[in-house]
Amino acid sequence: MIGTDVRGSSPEPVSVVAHGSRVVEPTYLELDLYYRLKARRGIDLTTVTTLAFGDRLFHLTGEFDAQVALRNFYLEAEKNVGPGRLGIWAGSRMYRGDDIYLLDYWPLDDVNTVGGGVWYRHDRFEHGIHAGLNRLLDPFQFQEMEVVTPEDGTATIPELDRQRYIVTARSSYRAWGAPQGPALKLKVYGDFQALPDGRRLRDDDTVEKLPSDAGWSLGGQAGFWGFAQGQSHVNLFLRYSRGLSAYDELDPPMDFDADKKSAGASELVLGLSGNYEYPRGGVLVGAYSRRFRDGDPSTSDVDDGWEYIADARPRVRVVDAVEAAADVSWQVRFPKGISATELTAADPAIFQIAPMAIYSPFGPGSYARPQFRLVYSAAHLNDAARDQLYPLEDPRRSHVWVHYLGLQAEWWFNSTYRQ
Amino acid sequence: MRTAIIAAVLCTAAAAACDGASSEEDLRARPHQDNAGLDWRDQVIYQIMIDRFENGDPNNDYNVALSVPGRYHGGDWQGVIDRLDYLEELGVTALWISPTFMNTEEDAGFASYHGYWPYDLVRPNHHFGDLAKLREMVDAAHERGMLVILDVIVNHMGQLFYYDINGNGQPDDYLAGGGTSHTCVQVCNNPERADECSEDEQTYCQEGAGYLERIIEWDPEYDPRGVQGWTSVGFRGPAEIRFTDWPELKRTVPPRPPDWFGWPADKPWFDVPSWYNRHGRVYLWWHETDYSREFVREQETLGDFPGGLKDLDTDNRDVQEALIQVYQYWMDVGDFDGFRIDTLKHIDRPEVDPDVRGFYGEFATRIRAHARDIGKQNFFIFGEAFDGNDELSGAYTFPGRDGAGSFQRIDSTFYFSQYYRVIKNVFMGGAPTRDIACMYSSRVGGASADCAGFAPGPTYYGEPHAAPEDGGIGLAPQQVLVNFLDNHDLARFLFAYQELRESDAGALAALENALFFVFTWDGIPCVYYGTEQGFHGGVDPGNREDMFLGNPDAGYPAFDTGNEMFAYVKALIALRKERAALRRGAVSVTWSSAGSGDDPGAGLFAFERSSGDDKVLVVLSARASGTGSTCAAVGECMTTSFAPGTTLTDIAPGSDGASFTVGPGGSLEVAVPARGGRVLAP
Repeated sequence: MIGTDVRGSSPEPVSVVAHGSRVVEPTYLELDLYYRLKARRGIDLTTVTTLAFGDRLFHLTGEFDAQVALRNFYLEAEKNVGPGRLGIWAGSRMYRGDDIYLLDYWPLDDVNTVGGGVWYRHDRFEHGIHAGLNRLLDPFQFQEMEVVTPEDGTATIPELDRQRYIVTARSSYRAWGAPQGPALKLKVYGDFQALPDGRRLRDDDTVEKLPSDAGWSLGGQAGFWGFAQGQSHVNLFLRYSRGLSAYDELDPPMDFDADKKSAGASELVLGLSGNYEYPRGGVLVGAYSRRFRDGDPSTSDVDDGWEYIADARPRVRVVDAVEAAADVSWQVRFPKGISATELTAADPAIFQIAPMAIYSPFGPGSYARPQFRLVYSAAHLNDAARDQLYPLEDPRRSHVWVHYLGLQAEWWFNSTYRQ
Repeated sequence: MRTAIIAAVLCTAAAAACDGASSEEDLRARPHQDNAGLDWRDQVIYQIMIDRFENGDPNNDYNVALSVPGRYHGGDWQGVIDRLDYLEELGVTALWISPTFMNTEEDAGFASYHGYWPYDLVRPNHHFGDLAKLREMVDAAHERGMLVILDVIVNHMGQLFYYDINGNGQPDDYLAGGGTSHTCVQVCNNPERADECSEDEQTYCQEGAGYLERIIEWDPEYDPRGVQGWTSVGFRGPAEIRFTDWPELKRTVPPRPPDWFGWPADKPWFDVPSWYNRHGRVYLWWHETDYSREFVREQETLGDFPGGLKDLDTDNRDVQEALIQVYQYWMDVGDFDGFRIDTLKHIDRPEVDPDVRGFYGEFATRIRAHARDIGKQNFFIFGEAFDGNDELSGAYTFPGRDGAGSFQRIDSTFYFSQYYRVIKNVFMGGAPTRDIACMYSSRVGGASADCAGFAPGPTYYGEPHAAPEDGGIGLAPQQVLVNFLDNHDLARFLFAYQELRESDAGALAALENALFFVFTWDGIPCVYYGTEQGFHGGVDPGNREDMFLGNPDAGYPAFDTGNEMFAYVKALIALRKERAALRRGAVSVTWSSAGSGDDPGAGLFAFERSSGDDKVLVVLSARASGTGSTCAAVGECMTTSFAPGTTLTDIAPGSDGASFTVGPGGSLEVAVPARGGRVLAP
């Protein structure tokens, strides 16, 4: 992302909901490196390595400090078995289903773990189970201490080392139509998460006991595709989660009940993604409603509440591979608590409109990549939104309109999730 | 398919509606408990230091260090909610909670767990919860018939700035040099200007010469002319005030209130030097006979509180207005039933200038008016004048009159003189019980010639400031002094007893004895949390034990309701609730003694309490040993107002049920064992 906030400073995405519009988003790169091998007895092997780079560009900051993460690092083997095809995999994997592109959000199944799984496709069905774990470098799961050794010096020991276990199962069924569409599929998904107990030391060396914790999710998806040109589709998602599963597995829960468990946390999501393409253009849509409650039993809690977002990006071909588009979104949140700064109840909301010019060298299409975009975005933040986003001393608190003018480049090469 | 989609959307919409997708209501708009018909004499106050009471919400446990006495320990407002059952069983009726607003986080390794280091007077201290939780606590207390008193601070702010005495732009912990008090160096010790110095200032400079040489820019000693800047070549005028910029410690310029608060954007908000007195730290704490009373009081009211707590200029109109609006706001959102004013005597000098309105004349009047406006009657305003001088403490309860008309002051104070002269001297130290009688006479006026060393009185105002429907309490300050045995600033009774007597023998009996007194005497009893659990810590922070850890020395689990002390306090409260005479009764002292030792009547104190048809006779013995009697010698017995032949039975908790018959002329001989007490009723 290259751009300015029109005020002479760096641009910033603004969002008051968990998954806002991605018109303005930090630079991000994933390099998928994979090999496909044919082993004996009809087994196909795939190795996938995905390097991910965060928003640290040398030419922007002058610092040689690119942040790299290994997001995929797994081996998968598949083979025809019986009437279908069986696959097994093991490693570190972004294990996820369909997304809402405009919001960069996977509302149903999106699990990032180190583990393994098995899947089986036959006829109209596809089933998969997976088991994985993580152990975040966060005081919630990990603490190291230095202790005295008999010899000179100290040794570092793990005082707290808790793995978070996640087991998922999913099954989809193409209820109607051919794989290339038009077709309808139904999918169900469930997961269970568990965390063992542990203990850690506070700053004053007193012991803090951390109880075991657990959570689960259950959800479904209905998808319809191939009813129009290109990659037209519509997906409807519904998921309900409790306990640990109400939180992203890469973020530790922040609020607990009196027993320090997240049992009271819950999340209910109803999501929609869609794309409709026609000869002269198309429209992408994304929306969700979400109710979140954290583990804190207080009924008046600003972290709890409903939130909604609707985002649409219609585009129309201007000439050849050049299109004009506009991303329009509206998001609002209804916290069930009082602002810590303003000491009143208020509902933050943002309306954003982003006209853009798009150039797709390989031809237009909602998902055609690579894509160059010249974007101007204006987001209106109400008082409550500015109160949520900016502390009292932040000069941006007075910015009712947040602007972005920039040039974007987006491309996918061999992206895993697009398989 | 379409049906399924519509159904899913409708389901979530319905769930949203049922769940209350609308925003949280404005707390200020919630109705307030009107307290109509309330009588503060009926109340039993229980002092809670929130951080040390109960940890009900682990989510606000940041910067908690349980093993360090001077750090946060995790108690919060949810914890109070969780323990209302316990408080209800004990029988207390009013909770005095420690301050609720945001504090500076830390200073010199100590944390602000107590709440007395103000930083942001409008926003809640998130160690204890948020605004909604605070109101939930008050509402829950109200539902159980308990009132809630807020601890308010109007004298000072936290450690927000330092005096840049040497002008180097950093806070120095130590400035060496000969007498950095400008008044001493430049004036009093300067032959050419010495005559500008008052006698007090000369004494101050002479006595403090060595003490004043070590200066810490956070907390320099008092200078009558204000803290001056100084370098090696001399003084350069008032020292610059530098606010720190340490947001992680919440030691910055205080945040401004929200726009809706209505404070003008062009007015300062505790962020300018002119809002502070800037005289350095209070140095003289006691009744120093070397100094005039005026000098001592001047530096008490202009000086910073030790620990770098910066003294507000409460004569500044904007400061007054800001503080009044702040606490009106807390009344609105918190629905509190009264205020306990911290560091009362460090503002105004009503004992010297009774008709100077000052801060309290404005504050009390406006707060009562606001209580009336929000429909709250009987709003109780009392304060802490940490001083054994009744003429000083009591002066804060007298009204005044100036050019703008008459003005009110506060309803009551903590009875500190009683703490020193009765609780410590009599119940711990064995001083004559005549002192109790003298204290009372002095309070209401008419102390006899026998009461040398007591002011003739009345030392406390004898009329109500305002009627309940006008936000007042309809009771005279004389009637509603707050009686206590200890608090967060004093060693616990059991510790102080042991220190005084150099032994803990008889300490528990002495505590029960003193409790018996405060629960049968007039005024409002106030129990410091943990007294009923036998806590025995020394001075701060030793006296701020964790309630949620129980009393391991005594073997009591947390919030134990089965131990003897809990049972005794509960029984005393129950008795007080039963008998209107004990709560509201007029006092008539029938026996006190100037004697000591083996004199049979020594150590006994007896008084009648009467209210309407209810009348009781209380006889207590502060003797450490031996049975006392209300007959000093044959024929010299106590005289009561009960008719001859009336049989009085002891209804005190744990009593032996003894009965006593009133003799001719109302005479009555009552024997009381050491540290015992009888409540005799017909």
